[in-house]
Amino acid sequence: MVIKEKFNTSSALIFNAVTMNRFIIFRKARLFKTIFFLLFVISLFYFLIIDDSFVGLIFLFFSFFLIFFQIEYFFNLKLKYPKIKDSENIAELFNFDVARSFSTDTCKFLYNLLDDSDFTFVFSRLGIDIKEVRTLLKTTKDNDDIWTLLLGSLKESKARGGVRIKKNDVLIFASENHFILKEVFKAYDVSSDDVRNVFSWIYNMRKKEENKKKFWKWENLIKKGSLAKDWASGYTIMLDKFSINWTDYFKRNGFPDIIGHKKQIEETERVLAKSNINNVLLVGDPGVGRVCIIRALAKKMFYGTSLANLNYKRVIELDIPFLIANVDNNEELENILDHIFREVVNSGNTVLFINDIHNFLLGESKPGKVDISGVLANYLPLASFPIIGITDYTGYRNINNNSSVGSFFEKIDVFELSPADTIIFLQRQSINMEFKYRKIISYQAIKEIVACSERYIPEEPFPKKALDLLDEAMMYISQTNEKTLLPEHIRKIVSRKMNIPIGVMDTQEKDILMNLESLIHKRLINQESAVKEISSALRRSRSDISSYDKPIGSFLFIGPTGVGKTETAKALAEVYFKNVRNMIRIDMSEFQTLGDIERLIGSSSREGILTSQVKQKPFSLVLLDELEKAHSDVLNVFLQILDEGSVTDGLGQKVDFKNCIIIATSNAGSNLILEKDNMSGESLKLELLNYFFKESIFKPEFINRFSSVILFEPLSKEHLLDIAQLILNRIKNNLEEKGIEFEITEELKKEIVNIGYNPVFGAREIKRVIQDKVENTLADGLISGTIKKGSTVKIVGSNFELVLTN
Amino acid sequence: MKPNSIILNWFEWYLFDAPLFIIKTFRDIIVFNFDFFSIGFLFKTMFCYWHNYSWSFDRGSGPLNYINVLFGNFISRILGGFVRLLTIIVGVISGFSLFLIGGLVLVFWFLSPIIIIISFVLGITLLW
Repeated sequence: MVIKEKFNTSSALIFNAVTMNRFIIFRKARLFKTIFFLLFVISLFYFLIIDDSFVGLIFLFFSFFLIFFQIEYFFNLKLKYPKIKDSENIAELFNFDVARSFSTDTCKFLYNLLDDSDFTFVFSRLGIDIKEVRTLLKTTKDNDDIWTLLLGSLKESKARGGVRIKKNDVLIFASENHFILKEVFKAYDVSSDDVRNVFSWIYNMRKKEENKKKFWKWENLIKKGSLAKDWASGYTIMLDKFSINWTDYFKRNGFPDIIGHKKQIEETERVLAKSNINNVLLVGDPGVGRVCIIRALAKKMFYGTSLANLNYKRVIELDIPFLIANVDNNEELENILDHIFREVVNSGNTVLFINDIHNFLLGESKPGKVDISGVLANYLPLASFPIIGITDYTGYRNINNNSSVGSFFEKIDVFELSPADTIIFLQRQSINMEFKYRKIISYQAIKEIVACSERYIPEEPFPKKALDLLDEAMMYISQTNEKTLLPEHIRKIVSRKMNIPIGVMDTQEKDILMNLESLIHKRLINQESAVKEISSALRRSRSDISSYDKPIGSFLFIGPTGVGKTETAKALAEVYFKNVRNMIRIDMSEFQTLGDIERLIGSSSREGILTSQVKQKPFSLVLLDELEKAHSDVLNVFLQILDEGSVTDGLGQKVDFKNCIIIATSNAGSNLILEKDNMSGESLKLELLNYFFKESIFKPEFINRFSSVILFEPLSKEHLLDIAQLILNRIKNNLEEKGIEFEITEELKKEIVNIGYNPVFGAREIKRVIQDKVENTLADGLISGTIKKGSTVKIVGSNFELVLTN
Repeated sequence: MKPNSIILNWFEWYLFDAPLFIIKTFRDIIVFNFDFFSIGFLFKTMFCYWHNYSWSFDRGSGPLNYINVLFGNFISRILGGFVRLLTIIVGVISGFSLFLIGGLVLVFWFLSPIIIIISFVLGITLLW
């Protein structure tokens, strides 16, 4: 427990090292040591090759080399790490870097601390200009309490299990609490967790580099392996021809770091070490890191840190496709496999591994396919034949149903990495990527990759999707000749790839979003509440304040036919999704039986109508027309989509609806609306919903899943006049392109509405009348040559006669 | 910093910390040497078949076959035993050498202040 009153730097032993560091012989001991060593070597060579006139220098340089050697190590290993005598004095708990930079002025303290190469790295990765921050600290008057900063840093140090306060502890705490740094970090959108992550990234890198230099350390020594551990093991001549020895490969190229999957690695070891059935099936989607488990296993076995009867065994991948390519027939293949498997048993030090094992365990002979179940089944019960197969869930089902081999495997599920683990994984990978592309990867870009791939590429697992995105992004900045990979590059790539607007909105998009209602109303009359609801949903989604685990918005439009339900969806698609073609329209009346679910979401043999389109266009408007006509089990599929924003299709792939707007329309209860012409608004909507529940058209839990249920009320004559104007305007525009002026008169509109007004069919009847009476009349005039380029025409009278006014 | 505190620290480091580091390092290297030559494992498997090369008797075959199999298996064990023994000897020699080197480093360390003084004095004298 530290006590404020006991804070005293002069009594703290670490400050002795700070004092000593002021002397050049301590500060530059390493440099002097190197210089005298070189001089010693040169003088020795001079003595040996030329003459012995300066032999005394050899002894002199050697003695100085030894002196500075001792000073360097004494200072770095002893003086910099004094014993803590009084743990109540917080100054005793400083490490050397903190003590050297310390000042009671917090700004000066941080300014001194930031004069450090590690911090330059950390700040550059976070995309912050360290020089700017230092200038700010230098020129600003301190108004923070040093005691608060020290206590916070100590807490940070204890949280990571440390005893002394390190420079990173101070920076992590200051990043959220110091009056200058917190503003800087906030401006760059950097949290203390980000600082912590970048520090662990840099420490991991430095630690690896430093450990590599210390050849005498046990972990470096055991990397050399052993000379004779396999002398009691049998040769595997045939296996060696058709396999990849992963243990040998990693021994030559270095074992990679393994992130995550600790539980699965331990479980695999446990099963392989068993004395009875010791075969493993690693089951998971491609890209979740199934092969990483094999690598980790090979590493542990090679280092002798696995279970006793697994240590020093080799992990060998049997390359069956290569084997198949080298044999003439199935009989030869089976003979060779039998030979190989006997070699594995005889060797006594082999763990066999087969990738995509389901391709070779079909359980039946198929033309063009190979089934090794028969020959493998003879060896699977043997403890001396440990085997690891990699498969996915579909493959696992087939293997499990294969009676000859299914029961000899123990299944281990491999799940995708968590986003936090993926960040660490990408940090480790980034070293190679930076070397390959000669570019720098910022931490913010890594964070953005994980965030974007989690949100926009849900059908693929971590870490594969994140790694693919990183690779693509590096390729992108190589083409654009930019030096550093930044978050905006990631957003640009994902936006282009997925056709989804993400990142900072441009002016045009902002204008559209702010004026969405008026833009939609340019092609739609009435239905204000519907337009307002969907516009708000889009604005919420684009400003990233809505939840990510549901579609952008889901709406049920109810009302009689011809009131603008489908038209509203079309207008939205055209205004915001840029094109009506970005609307996925599904006629639900085609899904009236239970068997139609397969057509909707696919099966193992075919793609689903809905899911395949959403996969292609993840950012789109899904219009489900005439929803009430679909089978109730088909509607149940939508329960999950509306609730979780995703569905698993018939191929077992997750299809994401989180970037879709779902609009369902229904005419159910139209008669009721027309009958209750004295009711309107909320009361009519409630009446209608009760009718749905009573007649079992929709269940309450289904209706509740929608963001909003919107009632489209029948259109009045005034609305129909406006609709007629809208449709006639389109005709006018078309004629204008041909150089013909079309006059729209009030008389014409009234005539159209008089004929077309029918509360049952709504605006649809108006469209039909315009087509029948106006478009036909104009078409006749155009074909007969009555209407020529430059003419001005209008249609008059109850007979809809064509009149040329010019 | 008080000078006597530095001197005390230096003595602690010179007489205790640094020799302990040298001893620990050479201990690791020597243990690794035994692991590298797999000496324990080779003792355990001293007369095992060389790379599991062995032959078994065929049912109903004649005495010549029995002799062949016995001879083959005997050779495999003897060959295994010979190579293993040789490796054990090399491993033990190299382990012993490392032990000696470790000892010499330790001696050099303890003598280093004297070596520094002698080198310095000798250097000055020879230059004069």
